[in-house]
Amino acid sequence: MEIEQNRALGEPIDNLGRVLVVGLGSGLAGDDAVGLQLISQLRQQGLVACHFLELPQMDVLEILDEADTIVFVDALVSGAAPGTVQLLALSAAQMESRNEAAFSLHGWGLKEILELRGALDLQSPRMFLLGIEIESAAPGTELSAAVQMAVKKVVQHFPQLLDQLQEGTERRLWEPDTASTER
Amino acid sequence: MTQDITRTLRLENLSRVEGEGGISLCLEGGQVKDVQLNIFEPPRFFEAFLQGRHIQEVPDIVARICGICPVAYQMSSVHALENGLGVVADPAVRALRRLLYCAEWIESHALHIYLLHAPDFLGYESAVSMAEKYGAELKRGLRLKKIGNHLLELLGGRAIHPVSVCVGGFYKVPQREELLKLRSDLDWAIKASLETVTWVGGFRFPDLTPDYEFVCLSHPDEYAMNEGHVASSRGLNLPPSQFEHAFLEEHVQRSTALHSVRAQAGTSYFVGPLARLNLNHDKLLPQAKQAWMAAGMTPPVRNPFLGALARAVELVHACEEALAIIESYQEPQRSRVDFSIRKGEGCAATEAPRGILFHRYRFSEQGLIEFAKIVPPTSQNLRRMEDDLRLLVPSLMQRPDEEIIRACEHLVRNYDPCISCSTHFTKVRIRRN
Repeated sequence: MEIEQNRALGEPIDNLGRVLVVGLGSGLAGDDAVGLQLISQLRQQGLVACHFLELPQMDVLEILDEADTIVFVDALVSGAAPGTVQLLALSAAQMESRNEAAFSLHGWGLKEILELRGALDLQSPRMFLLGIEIESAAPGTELSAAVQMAVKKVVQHFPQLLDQLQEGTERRLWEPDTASTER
Repeated sequence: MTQDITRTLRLENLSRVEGEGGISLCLEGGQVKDVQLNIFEPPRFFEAFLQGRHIQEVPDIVARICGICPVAYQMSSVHALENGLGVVADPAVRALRRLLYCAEWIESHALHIYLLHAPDFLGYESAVSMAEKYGAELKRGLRLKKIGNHLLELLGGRAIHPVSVCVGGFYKVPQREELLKLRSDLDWAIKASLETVTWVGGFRFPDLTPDYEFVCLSHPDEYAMNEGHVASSRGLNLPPSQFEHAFLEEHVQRSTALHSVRAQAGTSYFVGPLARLNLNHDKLLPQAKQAWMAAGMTPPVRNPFLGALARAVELVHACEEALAIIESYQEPQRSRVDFSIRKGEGCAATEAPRGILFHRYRFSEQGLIEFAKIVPPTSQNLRRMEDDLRLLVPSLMQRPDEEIIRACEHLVRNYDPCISCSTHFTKVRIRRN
C-alpha cells in the first residue's frame, strides 16, 4: 500500500516551471497499475515531484494548484502495440465530458474540474498525458512484460521527456531509444 | 393536470450525491401512490470478503467503502475490534483519532455544503453554473475542503483512503511541529466556517416538519464522534452493543442497499448532522454553539432542509476542535499499544459525517474475521427519505414534472446520501394515474 512520501516540488525546470507527475490507475488491475509503477520508480530518481491518484475525482482540483506543468501518466488503449508510449497535450476544449457531471460525484472528471476552475478564474497548469499502451487490465498485480519494459524506458529517459515537453508537443509517439517521431 | 391521470415521474440518476441511485414516484387520483428510492449501484459485498482477513487488514479494507468518508469506516472498525480484544488506546491516540475525524468532517461537510447542496438553494444546476455569481463563496468552500484534506493527509498518509490507522493506535503519528504548522489554516477555517453559517442561514428553506425520531451517539463530556451511547429524540439510550436490538436492516427487492428501521415499530428514523445538533447541541464548542444560537435554532429543529445549516455549524465545531487538539497535542510515547490476539467479538458505533455508523466483527484465535456487519448511515436514512418524499410531494402535485423532480432531489440531498456506502443509491421516476 502506497503512502505519499514526496509531495515537495522540486526547483522550477526552465519554462515548464514546477513540474508534477501524477500517476493514475489501479494497483489491482494488471497493466492499469502502470501509473503507480512509474511514479514509484520516478520517486527514487528524485527529479520531479510525484503524486499517485487511485481514484481521481475532486482531489484533482487541489493538485492543479500545485504545479505549472502536470504530466498525467495513465494506461492507454488505442490499438497500438503494448508498451507504446504516447505523449499528448491536454486541454479542456479537447476533452469529452463524461456526461455525468451533474450526476454523482463519480462523474466528476478532469474536464468538469477544469470548467469549475475556469468559472472561478483559477489558472490551470499546462497538462500532458503520458499514455502507455497496455496489454491487459484483467485483475492482478503484475505488469505485462511489454509494459514493464516501457516503464523502465520512461524512467531511464525521463530527462529527455522533460526536454520534449519544453519544446511543446500536441501528440507524438515517444521512443526514447532513438528519437521522438512526430505523428 | 387532471386527477384521474396516472403520472409516473422518473429521475434516472440523482445528481450531486456520492454514488448512483434514482427516484420513482407514482401519482394517482391526486394522491401519492408510491415512492421508491432505487439504489442500483452494484452491491459491493464488503462484509463477505472481510471474512478470512486478518483484523489488522480490516481498517484499510473498509476504508475502501467510501472515498469521502473512509475515516468513519476506519474508526468504527478499529473501535469494534479493540472492544473485542479488550484493547484501550493511549489518550493521545484517542485525541489524534478525533482529530482525524474532524478532518473528515471538514472536507466532507465543505464539499456537500458548497458543491453539492448550495446550488439547490440558489437555483443553479451545478457548482459550475453558480460560480460566476458566487465565486468568492465557492473559493471559500474549496479552501475549507483543502484544509480538511491536508489534515487528513498529514495524519493518514494520504487524503483518500488513509493508511495510518491500525488496531491499537496508529502505524505512525505526526510530530507536534508538523501539526502546529496548520494553526493559521485552522484559524482561517474557523472564520470561514462561521461565514458559512451566515451564508447558509440566508438561504430560503422550504417548509416541511415531519415528526422525526432523531438518532445519534451522545457522550456526556463531548460532541460525540468516536464513542458514546446510542440516543434518540424519543428517549432511547443504550450502549452500541445493543444497537442491533433497536435497529433492524431489511432487504428491499428494488434496492441494492438494505433499509434500516426501528426494531419493534418498523418505523423510519433520522441520522446525521440535524439529529446530532438536536440531541447534542449543548456539547458544541463555544463558537459553534454561538453560531447555532445566533441562527435562531431552538430544538427540536424538524425541517430537514435545515440540515444544511446544521452541517455548517458542525463545520465550525470540527475546525474549532481540530485547532484545540493540535494546540494541546503531545506525541504519544508509543503510536500503538501491544496486544495479544485472541478469539473474540466486538462492536462499535461512531459518527460519520452523514450519521451513525455501526460495525460488528467476530474473529478467531488467529485474528481472522469470521463475521462482519456494517450498518452505514445512508442505509439508515433511506426509509426516512422515502417517508419525507411522501410528505413533500402532495404539496407539489399541481406543478410540472420537472419542478417535482427538482424538489425531490433537493429533499434527498438534505441527507447528503453516500450511495456507495449504502451499497456496501438516485434516478426520480414519477407515475401519475
